[in-house]
Amino acid sequence: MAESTNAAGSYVTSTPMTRRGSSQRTTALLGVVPAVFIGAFLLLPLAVIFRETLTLSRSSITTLTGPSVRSVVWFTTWQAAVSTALTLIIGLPIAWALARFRFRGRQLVRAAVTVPFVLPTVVVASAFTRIGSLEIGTSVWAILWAHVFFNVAVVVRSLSGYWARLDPAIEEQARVLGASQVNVFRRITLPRLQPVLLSAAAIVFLFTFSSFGVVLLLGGGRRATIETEVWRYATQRTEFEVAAVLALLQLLVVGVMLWVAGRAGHKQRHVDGVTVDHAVAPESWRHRTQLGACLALALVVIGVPLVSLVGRSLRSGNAWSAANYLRLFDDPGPSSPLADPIWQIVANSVWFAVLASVLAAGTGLLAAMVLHRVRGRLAVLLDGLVLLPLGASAVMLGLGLLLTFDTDPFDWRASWFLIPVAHALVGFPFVVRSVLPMLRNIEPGLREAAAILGASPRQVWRSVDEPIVRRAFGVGAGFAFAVSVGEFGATSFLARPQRLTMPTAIFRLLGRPGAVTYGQAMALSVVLMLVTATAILLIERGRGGAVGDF
Amino acid sequence: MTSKELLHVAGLCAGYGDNQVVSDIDLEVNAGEIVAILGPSGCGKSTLLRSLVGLHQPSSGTVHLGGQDITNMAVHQRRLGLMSQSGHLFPHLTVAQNVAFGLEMQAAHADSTADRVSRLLDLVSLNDFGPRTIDTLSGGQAQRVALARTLAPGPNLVLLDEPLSGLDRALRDELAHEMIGSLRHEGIAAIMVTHDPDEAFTVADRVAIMNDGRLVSIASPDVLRSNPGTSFVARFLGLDAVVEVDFDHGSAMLAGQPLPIGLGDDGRQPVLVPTKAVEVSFDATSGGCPGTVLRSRFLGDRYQVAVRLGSSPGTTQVETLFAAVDKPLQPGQRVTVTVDASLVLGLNG
Repeated sequence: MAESTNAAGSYVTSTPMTRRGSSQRTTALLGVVPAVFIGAFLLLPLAVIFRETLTLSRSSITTLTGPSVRSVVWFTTWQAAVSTALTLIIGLPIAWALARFRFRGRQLVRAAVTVPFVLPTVVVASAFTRIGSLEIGTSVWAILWAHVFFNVAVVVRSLSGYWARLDPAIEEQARVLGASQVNVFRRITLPRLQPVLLSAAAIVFLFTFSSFGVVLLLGGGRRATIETEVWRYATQRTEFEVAAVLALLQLLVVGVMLWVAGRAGHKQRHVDGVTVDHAVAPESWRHRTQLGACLALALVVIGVPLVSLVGRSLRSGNAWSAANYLRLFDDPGPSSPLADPIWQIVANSVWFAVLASVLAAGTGLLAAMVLHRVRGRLAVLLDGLVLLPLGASAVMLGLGLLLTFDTDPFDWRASWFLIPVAHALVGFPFVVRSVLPMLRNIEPGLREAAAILGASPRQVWRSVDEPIVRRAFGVGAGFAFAVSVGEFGATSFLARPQRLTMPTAIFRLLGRPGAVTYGQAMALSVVLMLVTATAILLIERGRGGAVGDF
Repeated sequence: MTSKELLHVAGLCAGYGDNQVVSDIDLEVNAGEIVAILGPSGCGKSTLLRSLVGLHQPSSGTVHLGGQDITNMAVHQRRLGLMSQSGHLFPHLTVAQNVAFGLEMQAAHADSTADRVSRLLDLVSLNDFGPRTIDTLSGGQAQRVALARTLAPGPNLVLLDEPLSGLDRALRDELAHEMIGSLRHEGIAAIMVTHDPDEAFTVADRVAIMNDGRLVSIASPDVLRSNPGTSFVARFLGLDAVVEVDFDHGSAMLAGQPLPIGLGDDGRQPVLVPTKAVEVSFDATSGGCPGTVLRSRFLGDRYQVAVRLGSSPGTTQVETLFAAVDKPLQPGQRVTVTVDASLVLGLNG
């Protein structure tokens, strides 16, 4: 009666035939909340953006076809391509060292490389306004380096894990057949890595193409990407039509890139299924030198900006002091761009993050349960829908919410709760992607055994699924919290000056010239970094081994 | 067989860190000769091969190939072949591209490359497999492709690292035959590492036994079989029983029979009791020693029975002997064992 495993090996829910109708009803019931949530706050806003592009005025068309928009599209593509190439060039040797050598601190380095990726974009941008005494904040190199800093984790993490599983005996075989080391890399290693390289490159291109915070803060008003232009046209110039068209263009490119990444990712599973770590201890001097050089590279690219950020937060005037941190508790002065004392803003951020993670965790869990129960074409459709908030950029979410909820009876623009809603949308895919693989990995026999022993479907969930899923649920909720605390793109559309979040406050502080506001921005960036790092650390401790997709 | 020396290894030691895995290897291989290195797993066989091919840096000793010192030569310049258990075919290339790889690395002309690839695929009976991808091959086909790829650049010497141990018995025998045929056909010398005595004895001109990082004996299969020399070799070959007996002034008793004088020094010494020296019967009056059947094993045309000797006058310990019989015996069956003492051989340590 109960189905077990289909031919492809994927799990099929065991449901007695006679109870199919009631099971479908349960599935639909579980789906109501996530459906309303995604429908109202994601699909509806996207539809509104789309509607906006259908009725273009003559002046909007002139703007869109003008040289300014064209140069923005060019710069967006150019910087994304260069950033991607640089990230690959720097990430490749680091990934190689982590894949090929077993050394003390290997896990630590792998974790450290990941730190920038989970940092809020605003913190990264602050770190790159100045490196030591070097004023690079206005040069294009600041943007490129910040992008490398941010994305090197994507290359290193995906590549090093895959690379470590590739049997070096294949390369040795090529050596014996007469290939020099250069030829081995070109003819054997590179082609074998190609699927992962391609998928990592597509993801990095995606991230840098839709880069918002970094470009907004480091572009100095002169350099703009499509994302920052969407924000500028929507919030500064209130030309919503132009913003909407640019947002759709952006979505198109993102869609193509996701497709490339997905195809490459699909291919890599067929190349190698083994999970043996082939790393060796660096025995010879040659190996030690190579390892040292690669680790030094990682240290410079990632360590220097972070150390420099912390250093600057502790400088006041020309001396070391904690003054910047103490000012976080002052009432804002007349020259301050902030309406509240900064501790109040930190409290806002944490409160929003708690709300957002509760909302994301609740809807995400329900959505994962629904996805686990449906099959076939509907499952594919829903799978894609769940990832849509990641694909549609944060700026797009912000624009959509702004355009949708500005008219009666839903004129909520002045109210604060759209912020945690937007954050929850961004966190939602993380929860689903954490919980769903765990649900799918539960041995079907476990549930069947429980049912045969007399457990009702609810008791089966309580006794089999829940303990296993709880951990993944915590991880997903933790990620949603971390994402919310650092969220900048959507928030920059929605935050009122009276109710700022940490990232939007840092943006305002950096926008106002002056040593005091600059120092405060640095100190607040460090606080934001610490809050995020704490959340991520708690997640890592709670996860205890690999869980789900993250 | 020509007697021209191709490979000369002298005093080779190799290891990982402080752990020496291969010690003082001296080995010569003549042109066209096939040498098997036989030993239990973990005895250092693979490390020895890796040191010869240049994938592992030996800590001391020299390797000469055709008179040239190649001890420190880069791997890709040595022009040796290496074929291992899992084949290690390039998964992103087709069968033909795999076979052509070594030729392309020598910058061979494209036409002659295509020619040689198809000739080699013929040799390993995979004529039409050129365009196939690697993941469509069976285990036996993959090893055939690996062999063709190894032979393609025309090495003088190939190193075979348990090349067939991933395959099932019948296929292994067939492929061993084909592989050796191909090597002899191309006049290529080979060192084959294996833990399977049958395989070694079937294919090799000489067999070297390796234990704990050292070569403990090198001889032709016939010599090794008729006189293993040490109890380690005899036990490892597993063909006959190795029994410890007590010698007193050069004489000892086994199964109620006196052994020839001078097989061992005084004290407890191992001797080899060949299967053909042992007979079992149910006739308790034949004057043999009583024994109990432990197990029977089918060997194709006969059965090998292991018999535990019961204690009898003159036998101070209980030992197990092997005998060949026509039909299987039940474990626990009581039999009478007679040993032809003139066939018993003395062993060292």
